[in-house]
Amino acid sequence: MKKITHPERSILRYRWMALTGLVLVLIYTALTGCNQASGAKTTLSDTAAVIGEMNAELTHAPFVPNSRGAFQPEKVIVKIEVVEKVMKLADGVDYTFWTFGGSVPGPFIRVQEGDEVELHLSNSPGNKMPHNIDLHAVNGPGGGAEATLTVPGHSSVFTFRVMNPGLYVYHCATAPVGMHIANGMYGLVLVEPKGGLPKVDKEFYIMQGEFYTKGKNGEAGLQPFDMDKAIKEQPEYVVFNGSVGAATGSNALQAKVGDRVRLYVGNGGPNLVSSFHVIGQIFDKVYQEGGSQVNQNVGTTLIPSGGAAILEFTCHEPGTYNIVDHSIFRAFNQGALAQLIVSGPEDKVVYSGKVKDELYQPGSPEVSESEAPAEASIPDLPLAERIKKGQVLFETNCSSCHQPTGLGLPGAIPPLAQSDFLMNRQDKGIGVLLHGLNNEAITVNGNHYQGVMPQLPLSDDQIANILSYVRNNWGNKSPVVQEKEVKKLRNQ
Amino acid sequence: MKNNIIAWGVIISIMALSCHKKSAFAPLSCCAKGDAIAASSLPVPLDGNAPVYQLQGKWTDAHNRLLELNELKGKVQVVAMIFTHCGYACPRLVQDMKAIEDSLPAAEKDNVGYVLISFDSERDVPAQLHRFAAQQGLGDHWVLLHGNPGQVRELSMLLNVKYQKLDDGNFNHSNSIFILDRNGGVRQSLDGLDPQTGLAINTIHRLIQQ
Amino acid sequence: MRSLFALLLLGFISSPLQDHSGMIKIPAGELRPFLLLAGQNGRIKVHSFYLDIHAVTNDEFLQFVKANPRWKRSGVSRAFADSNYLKQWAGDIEIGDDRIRNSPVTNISWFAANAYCKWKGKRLPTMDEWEYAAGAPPVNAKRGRDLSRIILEWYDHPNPAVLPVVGSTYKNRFGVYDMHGLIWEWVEDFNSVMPGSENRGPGGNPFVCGAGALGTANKEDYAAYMRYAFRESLQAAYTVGGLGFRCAQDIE
Repeated sequence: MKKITHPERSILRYRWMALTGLVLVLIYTALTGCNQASGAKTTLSDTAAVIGEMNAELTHAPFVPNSRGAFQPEKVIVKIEVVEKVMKLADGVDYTFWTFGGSVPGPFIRVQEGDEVELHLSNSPGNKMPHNIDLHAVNGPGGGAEATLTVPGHSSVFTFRVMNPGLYVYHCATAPVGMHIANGMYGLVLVEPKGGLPKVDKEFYIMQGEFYTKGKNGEAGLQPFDMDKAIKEQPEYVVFNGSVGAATGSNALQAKVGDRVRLYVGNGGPNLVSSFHVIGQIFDKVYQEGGSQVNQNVGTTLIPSGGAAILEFTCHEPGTYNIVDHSIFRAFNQGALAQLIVSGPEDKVVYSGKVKDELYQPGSPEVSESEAPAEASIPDLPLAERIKKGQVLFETNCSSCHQPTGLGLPGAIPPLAQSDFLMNRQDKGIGVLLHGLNNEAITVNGNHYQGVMPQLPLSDDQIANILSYVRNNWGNKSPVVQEKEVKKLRNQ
Repeated sequence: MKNNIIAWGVIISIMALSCHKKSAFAPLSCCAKGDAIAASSLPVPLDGNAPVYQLQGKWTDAHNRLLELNELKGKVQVVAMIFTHCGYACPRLVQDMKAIEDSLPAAEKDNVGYVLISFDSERDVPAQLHRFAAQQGLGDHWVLLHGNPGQVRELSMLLNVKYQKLDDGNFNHSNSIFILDRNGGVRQSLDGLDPQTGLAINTIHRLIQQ
Repeated sequence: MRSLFALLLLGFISSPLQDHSGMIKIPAGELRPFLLLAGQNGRIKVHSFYLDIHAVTNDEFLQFVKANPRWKRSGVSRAFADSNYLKQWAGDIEIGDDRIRNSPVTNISWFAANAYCKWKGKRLPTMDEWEYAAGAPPVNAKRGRDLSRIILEWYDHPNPAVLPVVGSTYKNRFGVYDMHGLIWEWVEDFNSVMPGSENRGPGGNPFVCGAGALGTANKEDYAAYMRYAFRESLQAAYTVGGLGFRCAQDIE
């Protein structure tokens, strides 16, 4: 595609091209490069001979193509088809993905420093949109985007020499770029240094990306893209390898004790930066940002949007290792969870497992986060049911301080058993559970207490259960506390 | 002033980009090699199988003669789309074409024609084209063509030249010189404003032999 | 006899010039360009013109091919249409699938669309005309009158196996149908100056675009990006499954 210049000296001032200093530097670089052009200067691309030709092995996540080991640079042909298709984003949730190669992320491309890559980008005839590819491994404006802009039913070809070893993101760069990326158009290209990376036992390909759906997380059906949420950077889903659960349970990554594992991790974005962490593993090697700088012994590494990292560790202990974005709500609430299952014999020296369980009472109750969510409706429940549920909640949330006996700890924790504070007024108990106590002085059975009771993340239903239990145990007796009564006070 | 700087930035960046096009894989010296590569991604098929001369319709030359593109058959033609009120890019394109003409060995000169087609149907009437040819010293091998806007658009589509008319009557346009074989098939597209005379001469030489 | 026939033929050819059936007059107005040239006041004047009420259908295009054999699938020059030209048809002058008779004709090159409009005594609309006409809000849309939603919803769904018939989406305030939500459409000057296929400025998103037509909001601009990117990725001989056209005509 030819470029436009205007004949007159000062036209073509598109406002969108209100360029920055950075851009001018770029231009200068490109221009000076051009000026040297016709001279017979030796260039990097001239010095390395390319011998032979091969079709690249391409793999879908979590798999990684085999290394070619030590070899001469070759011409590597990479063929990728862009496909727009509806796939599963989460259970019951579908999404129209725009994909490289029919999957999110796109195929893993593995080449070696010095290779000449001939990239064929085909846009499936059934597609609606034009697409292209910008490979961060390319030296040159646009990273190939310019050369590969392709309408449905067509193919583009361009060639580049890979010169810088590292792990790079590729993505679609057709306007509006954000939307193409948000719909899943990204993948990784690994440029191995000459001779290849050191051999390891297992290699995996993981790519994070977030999705902005009209419906809230979990809302079933085919979900359209939501531009407003994308602009506000408020995704409904943050996932590894294109969907919730793409690498958990039966899809989990598998390794054996003693295996040396290398993860190629990319972040497609389009917006979020990942705090990448494998729970229970230490990356003894991190090729930071996918580059040549190797850091050692890292717990959590930052992977920018449009960036990548190579992570290595050795599996010492069997077990299931959760792989998360440690910006942790993304893992627990939005899907950013993968798993590595390591099988083999245990080594008690490396990891003992739980050897002791004893009470720990520094003065504040332990909080359980594993409680089932509250029921959606607000029907009244019978006393017996609330007591039963309340007992479980009490034992996990309250008993470590108030004691299973409900007697509390003299001078520190007030009793619940036959407590006038608790029994005289139902609403007082609800208020304390809703809001906690923050150094407020209270009097219970004539004794003064001043301390902190944390505000617990309990639902109205759960509070009703706990109160129904404690007000009907250890000799206490009172009517059932219903959820709507709690709700009424919460809303006040 | 600021606008001028931006404009220059844009123009330069565009030159750089079109330059990049020729060699996507040689970043340090982006125009040093790679025309074979460029050929594979060039939008105009360079196999000669899409002869420009299939376009029907009469054009008018600088001598007020009517002619069809088909009548350009028989010679290798060096072709560019320009307009005569153009102050910067078009004179350079014409200059580059003249350099090609000057560099050709005497024996080959009569086998090659030069064609300028104007974007500017309004102002580039035959008399204006005639004036322009005289000004630029364009000899007998040159043909300058005026057509209606529809014809010009059609031809631009075939050559994949992009252009847009501006409010002031001038044009934004891409800059390319095309080398057509004897049947009007596009065999080379020299993009941008860097003279590529050597390349052009080689192509022309090859096409004359065919 | 022969000259009489020629005269008749001439009459036949010239008569559509006066014939605006199937077209509607679009009133003159202004368009805020998607890409604003510095120094412009941000408005492009669009003269009044006639525009086809709906996109050209397979049936209508079949008549053209029958009358102009050089545009048959088997005969067309590769210079003017790539090898997917009219591939949805069963044969050179046979549509085959009855369901698509009244669907927009797609897999049509710019040259073919241009020739069709010429044959009809019409022309392709310019990009400004098309954008201006397409910017008018819907008057009968089933899913509300938010243009951007119609466009983005269309983007959100893969192309259907059988393209719906013309007139099946919505009518806009100018009285034309399906300007969005059915197909992409060729325009006369799609190869006008574009932002460069780079499609993003170096260093982020430097697009500071004029809002879309008729004072549209941010989202519509996103939809517009798509149209401009699509046009930019085209060449005149390309044929694409979701790309058709409609014709325009000058006001005499």
